[in-house]
Amino acid sequence: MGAAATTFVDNVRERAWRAFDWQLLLYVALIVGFGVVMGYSASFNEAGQPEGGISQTVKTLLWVGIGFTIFFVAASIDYHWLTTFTAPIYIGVLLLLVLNLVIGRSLNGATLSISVAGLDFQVSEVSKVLMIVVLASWLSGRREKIGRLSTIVGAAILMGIPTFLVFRQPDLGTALVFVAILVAMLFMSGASIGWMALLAGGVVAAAPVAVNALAAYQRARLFCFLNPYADPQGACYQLVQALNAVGSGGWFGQGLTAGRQNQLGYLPVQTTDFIFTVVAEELGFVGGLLMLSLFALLLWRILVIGWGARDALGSMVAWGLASMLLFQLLVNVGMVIGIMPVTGIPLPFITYGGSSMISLLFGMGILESVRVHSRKQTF
Amino acid sequence: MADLNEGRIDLPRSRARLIAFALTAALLFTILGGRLFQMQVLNGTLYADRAVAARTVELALKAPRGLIFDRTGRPIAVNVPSWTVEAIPADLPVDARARDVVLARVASSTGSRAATLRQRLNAFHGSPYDQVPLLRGITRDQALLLSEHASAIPGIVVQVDPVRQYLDEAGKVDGSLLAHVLGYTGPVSQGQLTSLAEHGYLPDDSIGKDGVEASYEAILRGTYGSQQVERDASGRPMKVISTTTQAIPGRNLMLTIDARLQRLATDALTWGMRAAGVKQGVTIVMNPQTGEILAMVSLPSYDDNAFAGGISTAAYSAYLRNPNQPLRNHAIADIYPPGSTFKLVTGTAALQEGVTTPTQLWPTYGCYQIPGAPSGQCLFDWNRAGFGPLNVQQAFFRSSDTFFYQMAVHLGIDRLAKWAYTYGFGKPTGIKLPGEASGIIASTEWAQSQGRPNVFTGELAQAGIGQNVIAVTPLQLANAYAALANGGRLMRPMIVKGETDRSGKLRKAYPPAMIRKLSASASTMQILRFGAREVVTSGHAFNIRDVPLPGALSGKTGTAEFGTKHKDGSLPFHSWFVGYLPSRPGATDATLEVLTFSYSATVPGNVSTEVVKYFFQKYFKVQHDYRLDPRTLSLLGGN
Repeated sequence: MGAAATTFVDNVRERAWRAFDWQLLLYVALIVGFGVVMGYSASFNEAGQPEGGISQTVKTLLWVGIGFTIFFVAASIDYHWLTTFTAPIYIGVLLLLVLNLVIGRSLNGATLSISVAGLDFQVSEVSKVLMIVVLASWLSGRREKIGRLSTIVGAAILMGIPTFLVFRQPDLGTALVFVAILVAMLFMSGASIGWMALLAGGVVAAAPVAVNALAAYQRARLFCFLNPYADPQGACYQLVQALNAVGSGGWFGQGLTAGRQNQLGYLPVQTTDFIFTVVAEELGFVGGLLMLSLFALLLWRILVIGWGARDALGSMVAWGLASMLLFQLLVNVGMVIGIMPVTGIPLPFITYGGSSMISLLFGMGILESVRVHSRKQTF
Repeated sequence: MADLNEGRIDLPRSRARLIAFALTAALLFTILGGRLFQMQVLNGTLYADRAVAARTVELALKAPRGLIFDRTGRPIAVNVPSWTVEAIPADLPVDARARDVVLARVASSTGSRAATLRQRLNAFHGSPYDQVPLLRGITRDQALLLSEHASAIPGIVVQVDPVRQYLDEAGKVDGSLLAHVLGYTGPVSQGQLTSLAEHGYLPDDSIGKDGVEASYEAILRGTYGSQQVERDASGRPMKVISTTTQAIPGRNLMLTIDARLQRLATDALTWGMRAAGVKQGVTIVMNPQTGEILAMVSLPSYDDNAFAGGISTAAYSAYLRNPNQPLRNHAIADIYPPGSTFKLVTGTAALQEGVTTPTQLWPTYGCYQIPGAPSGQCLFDWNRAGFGPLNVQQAFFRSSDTFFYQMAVHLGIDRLAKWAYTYGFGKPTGIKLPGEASGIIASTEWAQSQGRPNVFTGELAQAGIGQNVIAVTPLQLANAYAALANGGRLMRPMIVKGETDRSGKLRKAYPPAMIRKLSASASTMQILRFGAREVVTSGHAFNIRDVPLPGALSGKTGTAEFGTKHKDGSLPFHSWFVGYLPSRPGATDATLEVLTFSYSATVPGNVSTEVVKYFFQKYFKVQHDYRLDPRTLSLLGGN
């Protein structure tokens, strides 16, 4: 260990550690832990055994370990390095998304990941957090021009290119997350509400066209969302099974690892996008509410950090991450309780997936950095 | 906390927008939580019920089929396990080579060929979770062997199902002794299923197809129960949740048949048929007092065990192609001219209708001139010399044709038909066996149904001796003579004696049923019984009289020539003999009646009498063999 290391530790001790937001870490850790347990429970089969042993859970724990390492690294570095790297990050995201379209591996018909050295790398997951950084950096540089139409147009173009690439994968869910992030960040940045409303009106007017452009399976999902019990054996089978599982939970659920719908294989992709059905079936209303409460606390904490940020970059990163988490939570939980159409959007921190875990914890690490570096510093 | 933002030089923060964002978030959380509360707490039961209903199926609990015993309690239809090797494609190894190893192991354990198994597996195109039958009817040892090595043969299961097995009087597997009585069970056909499904029949169910198996289906089948079974998403049953209704086993039956008698009757008939070159034959042994059928043999027979396990198309079509129709129970399903045995009806009618008195003598002829027909158009007596004047009793035992021609002509067709119906001819006896024929009894109505005003006088005369326009089933004839033997009670022939426990002990006896008391007077019946006795002592059945029997045997022979002509222009000979006697010394009432009918003999003479004789010899354990070679009988057995 040399002098540099001593300096780093001293830095941490003397200023950073005192500002460190323990609550943020606590809520994230609780949600991640909750997710690990639910992922393990969701893997149980009809024999009452985790399907494929605990290898999946071990993998998850591995990703969690890597993720928290990145969290602490990101937290300990001043987040302003992001400004420096905005352009390379943006270009990198675009390159990755194009690469993904070209050589991506097929997963349920959609090309969602690039396999590097045997590890599936889900570009769209990582690109969400990176695009928040890019957009935050760009918007915070707008200063007095923030109220102009050009802010909205510029942000839309900036976000529009990756959104289109993701949509072409096809990954409608992530594309919608991009749009939600864009709208929320523009709103929080102070962009003109008048212009936004006008543009939003135009988008709403174009909605019928968009519905026509949807693929057949996407239209079927929309139809099932509107009336799931119209075709419970056919197109809406999975949704109906999920709704039944959620409702079956009652107050306290059927017990961890004991959800019958889950064990008997009635829940679609139960360890990924439909993980909340397992939460609801096994832990009931109380468990579902506990999870929602943890997310609410986390969001509150993120908003506090955003409001207390030293500069717009820190705030905007916070707003972006908050809106992403909120939107994903709403759509993912909403689809299995029948208030949102089924879209492939993961439940943050809980849906199994290494790239998602790492990029989310990276985002949380940046937030911690924002917190740490927002303290009025006394030298 | 100090104001952290005093140094901010970039975008201003908007408290209003933050509040708007926070409120939106709060609203969304409220919606999510509220909807969860609505679904899980308020409507939780509804969703839980839906979930349970969607993953639960009601599966039938099959009831074991009732056993069948003979009248002495010998099991003759039992259920035995049948083991079938089945493959579940989804659980077989994916790798083709590993899959072949599994099939090779199955083949070597069962002595079959792996190629055949692979072919059957590949021919299947249903769900990979279905069970594909690869090999039926493996032995118990092979099944055990496969079960022991289950881990080495993933995807292979051994399914055990009960199948019917039919036994003979010695308890040996023998599907031919009682095939026509028992019938067989077989898979429900698709056509039947639509109407049977509401009675709880399953697509892979079996049902009684013939014989007692068919006519007592409802009793033998029992009542299937049902279970609530939880399925996984692929449809595989996983767990029994509850038994909704228990299965009620089918009730066990005791036949009136004595399997040992059935064997004796079969052996006697088989000998007679072979000796006389007869192709089809029937023997019915019954208790004339109760109508219980003690033996019912129809030859040729078939193997009903072949049907129980699912008969091959080749074997089935071979049965269908056989001109002697082994699948038909000739005793009840086919009709034949009764010949002289019908003189019982004509005699009864003549006495009861006052055509003749018991003592009145009628001239007999070598050839009877048909009244109203051109001169010379006459009907021959079998005895071309005539018998001289005869009363009705003499005419019955001598079997004079011309006497009964005259009786029939004086009676007219409808009075004759009335008495035929009284004796139970012209409609099914109502024995509980499927496929019973009605027979033909000529009458005015019958003639008119054929598009003519009435029968011709020649036909009327021939009807008097059971020819031409009269056809009966062997069972009808046996039953009519039973009524003569028991003093005028026409009983409903019984094939099932009652219900038993699992060991064959009778628990509930079905009472014998009388169809009607014949309206003929006691003296009429007495005259005909005397005549029947004389048939044995000095009539056509005298060949049988030397056999020492426990009581007086009475009976009547009959022959007919009909059917397809032989190459030399002669018609095949068909012979009847029906006789009854007390089965124990000292008994006064006839309790044993035997009818034999041989169809399509190549030699003239009454083969049937010899068959009955042989049966008695065996039944009463007579040491000396009184049988004659039917080929040397010449025309002795005349009418």
